[in-house]
This record gives sequence, structure tokens and C-alpha cells, in this order.
Amino acid sequence: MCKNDNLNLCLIIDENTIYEFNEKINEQSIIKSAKHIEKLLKDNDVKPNKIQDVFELLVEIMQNMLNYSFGNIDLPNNKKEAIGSFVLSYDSNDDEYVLKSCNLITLEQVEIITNKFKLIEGLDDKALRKLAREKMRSKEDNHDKGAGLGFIMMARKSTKPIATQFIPYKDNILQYKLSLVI
Amino acid sequence: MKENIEMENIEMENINIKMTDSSPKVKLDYEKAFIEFEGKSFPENTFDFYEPIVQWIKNYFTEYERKTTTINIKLTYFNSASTQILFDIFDAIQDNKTNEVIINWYYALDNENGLDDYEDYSEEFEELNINAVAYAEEV
Repeated sequence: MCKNDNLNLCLIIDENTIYEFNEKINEQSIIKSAKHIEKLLKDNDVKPNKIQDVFELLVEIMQNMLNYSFGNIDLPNNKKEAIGSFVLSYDSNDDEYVLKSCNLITLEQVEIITNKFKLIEGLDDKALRKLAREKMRSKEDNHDKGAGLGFIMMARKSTKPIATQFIPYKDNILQYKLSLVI
Repeated sequence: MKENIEMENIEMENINIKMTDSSPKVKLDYEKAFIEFEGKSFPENTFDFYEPIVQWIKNYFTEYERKTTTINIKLTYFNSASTQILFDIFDAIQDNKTNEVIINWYYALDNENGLDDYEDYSEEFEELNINAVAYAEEV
């Protein structure tokens, strides 16, 4: 199991950062972060549609890290725990929220993720919607943790193309960075 | 074609699940012909959580449906796995219903993208005539 410290310098914290997370990801920490951010945004009178998008993407990103992580561990009741970091920033000039995540993944997981991104690359909302419907009808990507719809949902909600980076870390382990703009 | 089975002496169990921080309140009441989901839906094991619920709905519409059924969807936030579950639920209803079904999709009036998800499902399941119901405050 990797240590939290490995990801400490993974993401840049700056004056726009309104929330940072660098600990164990599990069901409880996802709930805690989601509730915290919902309250933070509500207290700042952020529009409900923005709150919904940030909330849903945050959950999706954290559940994504839970599923695709080097060294994630199985907990009782078919639950998982992983290590990962994310930051939520707000750029007041562009009225944009930026969600960035970073965690360690294996080469095998890189291949899975890359193939999923290839499917959605360059698709507009109409095409993404069509793809989501096809996947829901076919259930081809259903697994015990999801329906293979997470990246499509991210692409539909993100106002800019999803940015991903895979940076060699050691042996067959890489840093996986993901960035979404809302 | 579905058989007209006499089920008068066989009861189906109602299901009531309490709301949590990551899963919705679920009410499945076959006597009142009433189904409702309310709250947030992002349980870690979404398929495990919904498996008995989807099964109940399939059973209800294949064997127990006797009158007009009302279904209220009052979900404020949901994860991508939950979108698949909702799809499966609507699919099961569309394929098996024999009586009228009233489906109400609740959305927050002040949420600019409140209708996005509604539109996705109402277009896919046109036959179900899903109603969009706006509410002013959080359900």
C-alpha cells in the first residue's frame, strides 16, 4: 500500500484552492468531502446547478480513484479503500470551478482508462448522450462498482475537455492526474 | 403475452429504506401502488444497494400490478451508476406494465440544469410519459 506522502506534491495548492483532500478514500471520506463542499458552496450562494455539477463530479472522481488505484484494498461488505488527492479551486475571473485529482495506478489500469477516454474524445454533448444511452442499453461495461458511465458523465458536465496525464512514478506504477472544469 | 394470474392470496412485501447521506429514502408499496425515491444516490456499491429494489419493481410489474401506479423520483444528486439503475427501472416498467403508470420527476425550480436528466429519460422512454414536476425548495 502506498503512503499518503507519495501524493503530497501531486497537485498544486494556490490562492484559488477552496478545498483540498489528501487522505484515504473510502465511502465515509467521500460522504464527508461531498457534504463539506455542498455546504461551502451553499454558504457562498453558489447557483444550484453549479453545486449539483461540482457535487456529482466530486463523487464521480473520488469513486473513480477508489476503483482505479494502485494498492487499493478490499474492506468488508465489498467496499474498498484507496489513497488519493484532489483539490477544488475557484477562478473568480472566469467563474469556473476546477476539480483536480491525482492517484497512483498500474499500467493495466492506464490501458483501461485510456480506452475509455478514446471512446469519448472529441464527442459533443449530443454524441456523448447517445453513447451513454447505448451503454445503458447494452450494459456491456457494468461491473460491481459501476456502469462504465463515469467518464461520459464527467465529459458531459465538464465545460472544457477532460485533461488527463499519466506520469511514470516507479516500476509499473504511474501518477494519474485528472482535471475537470465546471 | 402476460398471463392473468389470480394472486389474491399472495402478498408482496412492501419495502421501506431510510435515507442516508449517500443513499435515498426508498418506498415500495404494492398495496398503495406507490413507488418513491428521495434524496441523494451515490452508494459505493450502487448495484448491490439497488438489486433488491430493481427486483421488487420487476416482480411488481410482472405479477402484482393491479391499478394505476404512481412513481415519484425526487433525487437531488446521483452518481453515474445510479443513472444506469434508473434506466433499468424505467426499462422494466416500460416492458411489463399493463395499467397506467404516473411517473413524476421532481426537479428544483432554481436549478438551471434540473431538467437535463429528466429530458434524457423522457426521450428514451417516450411511452412512459414522464412528468416533470418543479419544486421551489429542496425536497
